[in-house]
Amino acid sequence: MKNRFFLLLAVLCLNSMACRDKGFVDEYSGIIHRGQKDIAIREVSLDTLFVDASHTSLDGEWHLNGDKLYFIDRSLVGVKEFALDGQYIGSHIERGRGPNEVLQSMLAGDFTGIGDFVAMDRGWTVSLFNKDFEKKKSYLLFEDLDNDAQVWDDLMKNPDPEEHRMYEFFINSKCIRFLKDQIIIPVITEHVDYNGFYKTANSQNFWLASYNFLMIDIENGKTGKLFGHYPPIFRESNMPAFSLLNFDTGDGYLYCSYGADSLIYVRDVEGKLVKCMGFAASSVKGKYPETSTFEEYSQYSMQHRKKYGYYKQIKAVNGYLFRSYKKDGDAGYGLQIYKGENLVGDVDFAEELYVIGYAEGFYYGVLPVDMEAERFRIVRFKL
Amino acid sequence: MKVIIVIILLFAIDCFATNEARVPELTFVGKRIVNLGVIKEGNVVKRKIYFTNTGDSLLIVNKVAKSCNCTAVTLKDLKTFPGDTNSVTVDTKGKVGISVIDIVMSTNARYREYVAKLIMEVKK
Repeated sequence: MKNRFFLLLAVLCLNSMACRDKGFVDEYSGIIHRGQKDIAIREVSLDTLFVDASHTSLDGEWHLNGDKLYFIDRSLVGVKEFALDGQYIGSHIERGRGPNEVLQSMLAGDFTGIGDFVAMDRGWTVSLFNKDFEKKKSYLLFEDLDNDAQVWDDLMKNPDPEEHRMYEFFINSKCIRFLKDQIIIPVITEHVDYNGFYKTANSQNFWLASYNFLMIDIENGKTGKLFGHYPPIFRESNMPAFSLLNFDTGDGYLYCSYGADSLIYVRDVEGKLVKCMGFAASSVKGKYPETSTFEEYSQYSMQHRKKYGYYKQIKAVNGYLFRSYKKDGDAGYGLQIYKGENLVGDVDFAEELYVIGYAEGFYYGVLPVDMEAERFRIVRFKL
Repeated sequence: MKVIIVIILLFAIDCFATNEARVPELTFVGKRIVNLGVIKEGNVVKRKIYFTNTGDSLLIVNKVAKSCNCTAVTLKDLKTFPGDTNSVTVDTKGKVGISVIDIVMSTNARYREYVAKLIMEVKK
């Protein structure tokens, strides 16, 4: 009897261990860091273009496509087109229910590289336009998922990171990208029992098992796979204030950067993590404070982000990878320059500069809006 | 004969005369980006943003939208005649932190949508 009891206990223990390990594979385990640090570029000479911001909300996303600059306005419906010298050319897409119109302003967009433009608006409608900004098709995010109320009720009680309905568009990321024939959308779960604001057992599961990205088929809007977990740095410390992710695509890869992480993660067209690269900026010490509750986060996140440096926007262009970052304290900002996997440049700036593209021998970037004069500041430089 | 020629000429002038459509135009009076500075939490801040119809036909604002529910926005008049000035009043009891509030007016003017911005930092 005694032996049977111990045998049963052993079986139960083995079973619970199996359950804990079942299904989850740490994609970061064993991933190889590539690249060398060989900084040769310490400064660049900027030419500044002042672009009139009248009739825009001054809040939006800049893109460089071909030899044109595009501003996707986040408050007003429309995309403004400019020449490389800042001359206004025209406006595309209006508000409405017409064939080439959208109902709400666009949160994020991308050019597909084959002439198309894809954008997601505030109503989570993804629209695909041709090179003349004529709308080809549109679909609502998650439209193909079952919206049965019972499913939501079940998820409230038993949050499941593998379930698509746990997620919504990560609006703070303000970024979507096109990769092969998929649109890559950042996602997050705001479920209070399953996010990183409260430092509980569920919070740890959030940093471990929650997904960061979703694929959407560009042709039919079909919801695709979830992929990409938060990197290990977020398991060491609960720091949602520095968890903002930014990403870009280039040469068939997806490059991902997180606020608190000095590493850049590289994924293939299937979303599989293939390698990491990147080095810490010298002015970003990376010792971030934790917050344990949402209230703490609300109270301290702004001052934490003023006090500590972190990584911001990433852009892959012309064989280079640019990453902007904020330095610790009031020391300003920097721009890391990677050629392939190697860090070849680190340039200081008084304000944040992020790169948007390359055209006619110049790299183009954006400085913060001049609110006083109501104008955009586009810069260009050579390496 | 001369009378007929004159009539024909007058008719021709009338036909070829440019008949440009009259359009309204919304022009903000002063800055459309208003920085309210630092405000104590709980304090209600009211600010008027003025605009003039600098066009030559009736300006109609058919919708005013705001980017934050912490703000009440009141438009003085839906219609603004050419040369007249109108205003939108923003009433905001901000949440702690830096807020940028967009007030978007949908109109029948040339650019259809016009936005004013309120920037403030609310502290406890």
